[in-house]
Amino acid sequence: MPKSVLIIDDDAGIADALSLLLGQEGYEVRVASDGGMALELLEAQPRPQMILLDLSMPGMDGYAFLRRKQQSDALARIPTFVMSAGDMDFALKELHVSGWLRKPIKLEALQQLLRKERLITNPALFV
Amino acid sequence: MRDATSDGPGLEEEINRRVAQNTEQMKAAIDGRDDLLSVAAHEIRTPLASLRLYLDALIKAADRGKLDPVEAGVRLRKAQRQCDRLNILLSNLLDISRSPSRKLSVVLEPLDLVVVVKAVCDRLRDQFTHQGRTLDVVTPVDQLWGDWDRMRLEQVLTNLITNAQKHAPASPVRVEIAVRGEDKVAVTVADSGPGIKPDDRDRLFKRGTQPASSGGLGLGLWIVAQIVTAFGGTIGVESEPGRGAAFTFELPRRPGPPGGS
Repeated sequence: MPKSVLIIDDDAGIADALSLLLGQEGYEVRVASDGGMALELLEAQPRPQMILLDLSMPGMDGYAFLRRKQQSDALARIPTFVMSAGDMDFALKELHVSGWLRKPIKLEALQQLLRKERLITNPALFV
Repeated sequence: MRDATSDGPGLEEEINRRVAQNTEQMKAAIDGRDDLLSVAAHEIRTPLASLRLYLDALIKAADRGKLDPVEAGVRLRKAQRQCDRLNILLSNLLDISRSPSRKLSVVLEPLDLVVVVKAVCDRLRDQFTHQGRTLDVVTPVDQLWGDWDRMRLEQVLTNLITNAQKHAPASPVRVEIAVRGEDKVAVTVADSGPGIKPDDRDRLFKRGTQPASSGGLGLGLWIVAQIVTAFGGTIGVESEPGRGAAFTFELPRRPGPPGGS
């Protein structure tokens, strides 16, 4: 069964490029343009194994999404990584997120993250 | 004889007051420009980041010898759209940095509005599709001619559509062309998103007065209004909180195609 990732970003270009890159590596990718849409997608099974989240979005932003996500035990367990241009190390605990990816996202950083989350099943991935 | 010293303290106070006032104004202008540069850098970095990711994916596929020519074409067009996006952003930036006393440059040529609207929507549609949304074009006629500047007209449409895309998440967007009498045409870009508060609505098209929550350069609508005015047209918005927003611009048009009867 392919590993799945949910991308939450209002920038369609970033979301599309990321999902294309991950899709090419065999991941099943779903995209939401804001937190509200992401919560709707998360109601369906199977749930993703990882979430990549932008914080600044119109509609329900990343902060509000994280608060709602924490209210559900099932959703709180899904590792979530914030995509941010600024250093987020100081806020990880408070936001209840597993880590962050610096924007603009580099292929190597994404690869490292997937390895860390044991989401790389194909040894030839990204090679 | 007049006592020169009697005016001294008053004059000195006035000079100091004016110097302080000018210094304050200059500081505010510099701060404003710094803010703009910072936001502009962020705005430019976003399409550049997508472009880079598209190229990363292409290179990986090519290195593995698994680059299907048809798929490569699709991806290259996506990368090309990010270049178009950068181009629009930079045009916006140049317009913003233009002195208010200098007129916006437009190069008028006979254009079919229906073709331009469809081309812009075709370019942007896959981003909507990817977000599970629709971008529809509604037109009562096959062609509508006028003397407009193609790049500027595309800038207006792109700014309005991407504005709806950003501020009305998950909402479908409809671009509707309407003939207004013999010599005018209207284009409406409508969404069913959260709408605009009355207080914000009044200042949407003014320079540097966008709602704080708007994010980004926040000057896209000001530029849109400038271009529409340069075409001899008008622009307005109808919106109620919770009931979406509809931006409509009206332009003068030709009665028929150039050279036609």
